[in-house]
Amino acid sequence: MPDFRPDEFFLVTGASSGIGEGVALLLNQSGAAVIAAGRSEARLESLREKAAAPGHIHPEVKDLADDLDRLPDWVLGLKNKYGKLKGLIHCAGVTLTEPVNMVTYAGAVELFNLDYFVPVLLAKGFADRRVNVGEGASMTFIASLAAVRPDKGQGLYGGAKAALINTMLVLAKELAPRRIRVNCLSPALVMTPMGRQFVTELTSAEEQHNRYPLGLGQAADVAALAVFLSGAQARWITGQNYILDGGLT
Amino acid sequence: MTRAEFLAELQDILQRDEPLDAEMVLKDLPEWDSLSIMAVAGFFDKEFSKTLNFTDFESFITVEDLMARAGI
Repeated sequence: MPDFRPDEFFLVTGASSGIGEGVALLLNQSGAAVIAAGRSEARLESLREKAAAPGHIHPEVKDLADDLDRLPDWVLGLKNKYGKLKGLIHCAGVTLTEPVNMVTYAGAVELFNLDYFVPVLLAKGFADRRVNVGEGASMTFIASLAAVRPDKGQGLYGGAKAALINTMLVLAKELAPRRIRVNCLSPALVMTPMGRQFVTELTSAEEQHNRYPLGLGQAADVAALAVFLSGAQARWITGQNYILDGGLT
Repeated sequence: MTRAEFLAELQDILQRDEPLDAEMVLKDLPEWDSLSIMAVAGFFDKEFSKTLNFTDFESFITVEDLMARAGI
């Protein structure tokens, strides 16, 4: 695992549960300062209680879908508060399972707002020269296996995540001259509160478990790669999308 | 758009902490790169309905040249 300094600030979204919580805890354990963004103050507080260095977890209560136009300004505001940012690890998102014949325009817009436009506007905010540390900065986005191997019912969710990956490939090229790296992770089903909800709604945990040669994933499995990609050892890695699926595909 | 507004807008497009002035030489600005040029071209299109091409950018030496092309 990389070693970070407590003056290296990472913005982690979706930090109050699931993969985001795993990322925040591992970054914190690796010595970095974590700006933990989430909707629930209470859950961010409980994240702080679990942290190895609670003093280096900085909770920011924020509903990312609140005012999309002003998201880049929100990121700039965090820089003004904490200093230039070393990394962004975007883990917030929503899942939706419905066949295309159930799609409504309003529902589609809501999903794309959360799973596509939010990360793109966060990336815009982070990429601003005035916001990040420049060389060595990185962004990592949690996409989904549904982006590349979508299953029935993942028309919109997979579509939004595929769009996200595509835009991040562009961003990787646009930011490479400034030595800022951009990557995506595409996990299959991970046993987070969101993943569990998916399992109980549609299938049984056992049925799902049996599909994966290495079993179902944990938040820490995804966090490990996200943190590695944020460190100096990943300096030559950009514009990639990594599938994490326990051997499923 | 006034000259002051143009300078502020350009500073934002270039994502610069320090203010710009008209005499500054574009290629001396660390922020003046291919991506910024694309952004400035988009700004001219949107704000002034002017399409800038490669030769235009070759001819721009200073910030003043950009303002002249914008017609302000």
